[in-house]
Amino acid sequence: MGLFTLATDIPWLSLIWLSMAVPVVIIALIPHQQKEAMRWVGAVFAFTSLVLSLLVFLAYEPGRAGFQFVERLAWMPQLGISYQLGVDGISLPMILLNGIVISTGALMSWNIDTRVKEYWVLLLLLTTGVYGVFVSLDLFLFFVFYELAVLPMYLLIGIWGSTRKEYGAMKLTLFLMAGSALVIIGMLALYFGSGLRTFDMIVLAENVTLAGDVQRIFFPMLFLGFAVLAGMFPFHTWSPTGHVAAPTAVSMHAGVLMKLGSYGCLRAAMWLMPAGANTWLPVVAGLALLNVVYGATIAMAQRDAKYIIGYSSVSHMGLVMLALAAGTQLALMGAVLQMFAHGVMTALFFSVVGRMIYERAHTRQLPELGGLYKVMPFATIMFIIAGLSSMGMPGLAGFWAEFIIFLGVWERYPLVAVIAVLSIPITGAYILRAVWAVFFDEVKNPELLKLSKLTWQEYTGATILVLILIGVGLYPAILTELIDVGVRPIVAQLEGITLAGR
Amino acid sequence: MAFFLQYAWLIPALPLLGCVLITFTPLRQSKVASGWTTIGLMALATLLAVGLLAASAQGFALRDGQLVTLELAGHGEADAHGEATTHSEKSKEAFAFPEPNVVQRFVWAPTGTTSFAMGIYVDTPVAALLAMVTITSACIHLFSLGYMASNARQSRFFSFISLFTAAMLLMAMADNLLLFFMAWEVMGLCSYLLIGFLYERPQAYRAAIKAFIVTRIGDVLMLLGLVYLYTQAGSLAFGTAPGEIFNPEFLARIGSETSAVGLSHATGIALLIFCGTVGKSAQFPLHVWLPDAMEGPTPVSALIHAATMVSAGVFLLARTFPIFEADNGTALAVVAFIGAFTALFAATIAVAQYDIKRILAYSTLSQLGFMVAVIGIGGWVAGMFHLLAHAFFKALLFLGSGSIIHGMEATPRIADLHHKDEYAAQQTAQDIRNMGGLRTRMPWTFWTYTLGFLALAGVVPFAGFWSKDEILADAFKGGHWVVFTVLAVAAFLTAFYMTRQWRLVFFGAFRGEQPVVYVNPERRSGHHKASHAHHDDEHGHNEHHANTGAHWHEDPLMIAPLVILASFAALGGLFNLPFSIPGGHWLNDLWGQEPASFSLLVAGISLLIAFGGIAAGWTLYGTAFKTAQERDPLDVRAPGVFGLLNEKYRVDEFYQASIVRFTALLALAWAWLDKAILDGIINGIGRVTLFVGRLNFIVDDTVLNDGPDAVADGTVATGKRARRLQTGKAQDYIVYVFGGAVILALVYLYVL
Repeated sequence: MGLFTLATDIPWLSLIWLSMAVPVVIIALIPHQQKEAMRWVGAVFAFTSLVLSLLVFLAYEPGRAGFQFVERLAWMPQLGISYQLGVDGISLPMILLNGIVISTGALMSWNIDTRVKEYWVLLLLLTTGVYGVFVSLDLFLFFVFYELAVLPMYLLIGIWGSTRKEYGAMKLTLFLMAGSALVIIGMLALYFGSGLRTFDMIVLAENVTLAGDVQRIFFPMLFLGFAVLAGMFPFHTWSPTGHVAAPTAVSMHAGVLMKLGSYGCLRAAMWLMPAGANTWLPVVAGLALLNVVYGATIAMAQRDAKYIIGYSSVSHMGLVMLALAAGTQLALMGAVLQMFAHGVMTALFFSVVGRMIYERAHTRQLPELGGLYKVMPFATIMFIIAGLSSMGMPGLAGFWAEFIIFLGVWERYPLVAVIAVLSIPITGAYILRAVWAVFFDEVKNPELLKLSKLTWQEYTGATILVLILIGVGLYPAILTELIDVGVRPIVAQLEGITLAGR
Repeated sequence: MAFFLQYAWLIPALPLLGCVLITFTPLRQSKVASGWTTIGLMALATLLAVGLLAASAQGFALRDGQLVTLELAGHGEADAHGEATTHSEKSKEAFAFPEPNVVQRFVWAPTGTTSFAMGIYVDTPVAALLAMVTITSACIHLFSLGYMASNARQSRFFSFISLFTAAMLLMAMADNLLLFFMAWEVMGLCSYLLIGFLYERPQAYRAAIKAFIVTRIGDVLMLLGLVYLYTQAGSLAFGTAPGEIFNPEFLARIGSETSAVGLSHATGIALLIFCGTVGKSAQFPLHVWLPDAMEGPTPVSALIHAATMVSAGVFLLARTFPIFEADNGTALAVVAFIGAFTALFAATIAVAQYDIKRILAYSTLSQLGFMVAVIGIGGWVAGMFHLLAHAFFKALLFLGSGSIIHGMEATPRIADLHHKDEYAAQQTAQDIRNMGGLRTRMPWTFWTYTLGFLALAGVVPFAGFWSKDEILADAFKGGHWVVFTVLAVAAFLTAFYMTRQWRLVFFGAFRGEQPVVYVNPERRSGHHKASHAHHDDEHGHNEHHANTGAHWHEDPLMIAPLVILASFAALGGLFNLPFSIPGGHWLNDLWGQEPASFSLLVAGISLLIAFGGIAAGWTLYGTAFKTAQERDPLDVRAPGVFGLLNEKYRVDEFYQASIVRFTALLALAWAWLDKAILDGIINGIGRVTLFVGRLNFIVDDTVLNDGPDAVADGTVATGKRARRLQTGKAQDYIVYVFGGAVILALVYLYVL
C-alpha cells in the first residue's frame, strides 16, 4: 500500500520466518507440564508474525512494483545458491494469508492436550516453512523451505488426527514427496539447462536461456510437482483424506499448503519456463476444469462434513489452476485473489466443523448431526458466511475472486468458462444441504443439545476470519491493486513468448 | 428538488440502516420496536423516492452538482434517432434511454489497467421503479407487523425484509451491471433466507434451497453474460458515452461481429443476460422454484415473489434492452417466445390449483410472462407499465390472501389441527375449497381483494386493464399474431381462474366446518409441541366461541396496507392513459418514448376476453362446491386434463427424474471413482513400489553382498534386515516408496 516506509537496515522478511522459528526453540525448552505457557508462546509469536507481515504488506509500494525488502547473502556461491528473500504483489497476500491462518489456527489449537510440546513445535515448523517459501527468491532456498513445510504434516496428522489418520498422513506425505521429486528434476533442468548455474530466480527469469524444447519437456514436471500440492486432478485424492484426518489447525493450514502448490506453479514453473507453459497450459486447463466440476459434484455425495469441505477445496483450487492455465492478466489476478479468499474461507470452515463441532459432538456425519443452530448460533452464522463466500456471494471475498477468474478465463477459453460456471450452483447445493443437515434439521441426538459453550479463542479466531472475508468482499482494492502489479511480470513473460512464437 | 436528487443514495441506505439497527443493537429484543424502526425508515425512504420521482418528472437533473432542466417528452429522441439510423437498418427506430437525472460514481475495485467505478444512476424509469418498490415495501412492512406478530423471530424477519428492500433499491439505482448483479445476488440470498424463514418445516427449507439453486443457475449464466460484455466493452457502466455499454458505435460493432459459435456478440451477450431474467423472473424452464417459494410467510410472497424481486428480471431486460436490440432480432425473438409460452403455460396451471397462494404464484408467473413477451416484441413502455401496475395489485392480492389465511387459521377446525400439526393446519387454511362466504365475514379484505381481482382480470378502468391493453395493443399493432393470440388466451384464462378463486373464497356458504384436511407426509412427532407453545395462548381464546363467527376479525394494521395498495390497483391506470389528454401518456412522456396509440378494437377485444373469462368462471363455479369434498367441475368434465394441470405438467417430477437424479448419480459415480479407482491406483503403486523395494533388497542382499563364504551369516542378516524392513514405521516405508517413485519417474522420463 505504501502507507509508510520501514527502516531499510532491518531484515523484515527474515524476521517474519524467524518469528515462527524462534518459538520452536522456546517451546522446546519449556517444561512439559507448562501446557498453557506453550500455547501462549505459540499464539503470541503467531500474532507477532501476523503483525510483521501486515507491516510489510502495508509498507510495500505498488507504484514501484517489483521485489521489495530484498535481502541477499551468499550461501554456497560455488553452487550458485544464495540466501535471497524478497516480496512482490503475489507473495504479499500469501504471507498475509499465512499470518492470518496461523494466528487463528493457534487460537483453535488451544484444546490440544496430548503431547502439547511436540504439537506446537511441529505446527510452528510447518508455518516457518510456508513463510519461507513465500519470501524466497532462490530456487534452492525455496525448495528447502518447501520441504520444511511439507514434512511436519505427516506427524501432525499421524499423531493428532482423526478418521483413518495413519492412512491419510501416509497418503498425503507420499503424494507430496512424489511431487517434490518432480520439482527437483525441474529445478535441476533449470540449473543446468539454462547454462547459468544459478538458482537465483530473478536471474533465471530475466534471461530465459533454457531452450524452448527443453522447457517443453521439463515444464510438465516442475508444474506437476507443484500441482500435486495444489490438488490438481488426478493427483488430488490426498487432499480430502488429508484434510479430513488432520487436526483442526492443520486442516486450516492444509488450505494454505495447497496455495504453496499453486504459488510454485506460478512463481517457478510459469515464470521461469514460459515457453513450456505456453505449450502445456491448455492441457492444464482441461485437468483444472475436471477439478472444478468433479470436485463440486463429489462433494454433493459426501456424508462427512469435513469431506464436503475437502472436496470443495479441490473444486475451488481447480478454479485457481484454471485461471493459471488461462494466463492472462485478469486470470492470474483472480487466481491469486482466489488463493487468498479460499485460504481464509477454508480456515473458517475447518474451525467451525473441525473445532467447534467435531471436538464437542465427536461426529461429523451429516445424518447424525442436526439442530445445532439451537446450541451454537455463532458457529452457524460463521459456517453460512464461509459457505456464501465459497459460492461467490457479493460482499464476500470469494465473489471477487470468482468473478475476476471468470473474466480472465473467458478471454482465453469461453467454453471452459461456461462449463466451470455451472459448478457454482452445485457448490450452492452441497453447502446449503450441509447447512440444513448440520444446523437446522431436527435434533436427532438429544445429547447434542448439551454441548459446551464456545470458548473465547473460538469466537476470536472465527471473528477475525469473517471480518477479513467481508473486508475484502467490500473493498477488494486492498488486495487487487497489489496483485495487479505482482502478476504483471509473469503475464509479460508469457505474452513475450506468445509474440515471439508467431 | 435538488435535495431529492442529491440525496437519492439515501433511498437504499435507509432500509439498510434499519436492517443494521435491528440486527446489531438491543432494538432486536423488542418485536414492536424493531418493526416500527424499519417501518419509519421505510416511510422516509418512500418520501424520498416519491420526491425523486417528482423531481425527475419535472425534468430536473443534477450535473456536476448543479441543478439543470432536461428536455422531456421525446424531444431528445430526434438526435438519438439520428445516431441510431447510422448503424441500424431496421425499420423501427433504435431504443434510447432518457437522459439520466443523477449520476454519482466513485472508484471501487481496480482490475487490470481499468477500474470499476461504482455508484448510482437514476433516470426516469428508475425513479418510477424506486417509487413503486418503496411504496409496496412500506405497505408490506406495515402488514407484517400484524401478520407476523405471533412469530418469535419477528425482528429477524424485519431485518431480512429491510435488507432485501435495500438490495432491490440499490439494484434499481446501480450505475453498472456489476453492482446490479451484486445487489441482485443479495436479493437472492434474502429470498433464500425468507423462504426458509420457518425453517422448522422441512418443506420450507427445501423450497428455500430449491429457489436459491434454480435462480443461481440463471444467475451464473448471467454472470457469464456480464463477463462476455466486459471483455467486449471493457466496462459495464450504463450510459451512451464511449466506453459505456449503450454506446451506439459499440452496439453496432457487437451487433455485426460474429463470434465463434456463429451468433453475433450482441446475441450471445443478450441471451446469457436473459438467462438471469429466466431464473429470477421464474420463466420457463426455470419457473419451478416460484410456486414452492410460497412456503415462505405471506408478506414475503407479496413483497419478494410478486411485487419486486421477480420483476427485477423484467427490469434487467428493460435495462439492457439496447443490447437486445443491437442484434438482428434473434435475442428478442427468444425473449418473446419464452415470455408468451410462460404466460400461457402458467395460466393453464393456475386453473387447476386449490391453494390460494399457489394460484396467485402461477398467476405471477403468467403475468411476468406477459411483461417478458411484450419487451420481446419491442413494447418497452408496455412492459415497464405492466411491471409497475402488476406489482401493486399482485402485492394487494397476496396480502389479501394473507389476511384470509390469518382468518382461516383461527377457525375452530384448523385451530385444533394447528395444535397437532402446524404445517398441515396452514396448508388446510390455504385451500380455497375450505373457504366460501368470506365476503360477509371479512368485508375489508373482500372489497380490497375484489379491486385487485378486477385489476388482474383486466376490467376497465382498473390498473391492469390499461397495462394489459397496452401489451395486447403492442402485439396487435406490430403484427405479432402468434404472441397476440397466445397472450389473449392467457388473458382469458387469467380472468377465468381469478373468478374461480374469488367466487370460491368469498361467495357461497362457508365450507370450513368440514374442511379437506391436508395430510402431511412428513409430520414430525414431538417436535412441534415445543416449538409453538407460544401460539397456544393466542388461539386458545377463540375456542369457546367456536360457532359464533366472532373469530373473524380483521387486524387494522393489516387492513391499512390493503387499502393503500387497493387505491393503486384501482387508479394506477391513470399514470399512462392512452389518450392525448392532459396527464395522458404520462409514463411514455416521462420515459421519453413514443406514446402508445389507443385502439378501440384491441380495447374491445381485451374487455371481451376479460368479461368472457369472468362469465365463464362465474357460471361454472356458481353451483360448484356445496361442500369442500366435492370435485371441481372441470375435474368432472375433463379429469385427465385437470389432473395434468393440477400436477403442474409434472415438470418438477421430470427434473427430479432427469437432472437431479443424473447429478446425484454422477456424484456417486465420481465419488466411487475417486475412492476405488484413483485411490486404488495410488495404493497399488504403493504396494508395487514396496514390492520392488523388497526385490531390490533381495537381489542386493543375495547376489551382490553375500559371498558363498558367509551363507550362514547372510541368512541371519537377511532375517534381521527383513525384520527391520517391516518395522511398521512409516518413515521407513516413505524412503522405499520415495526411492521407487524417483526411479519410476526417471525411467518414465528418460527411457520411455
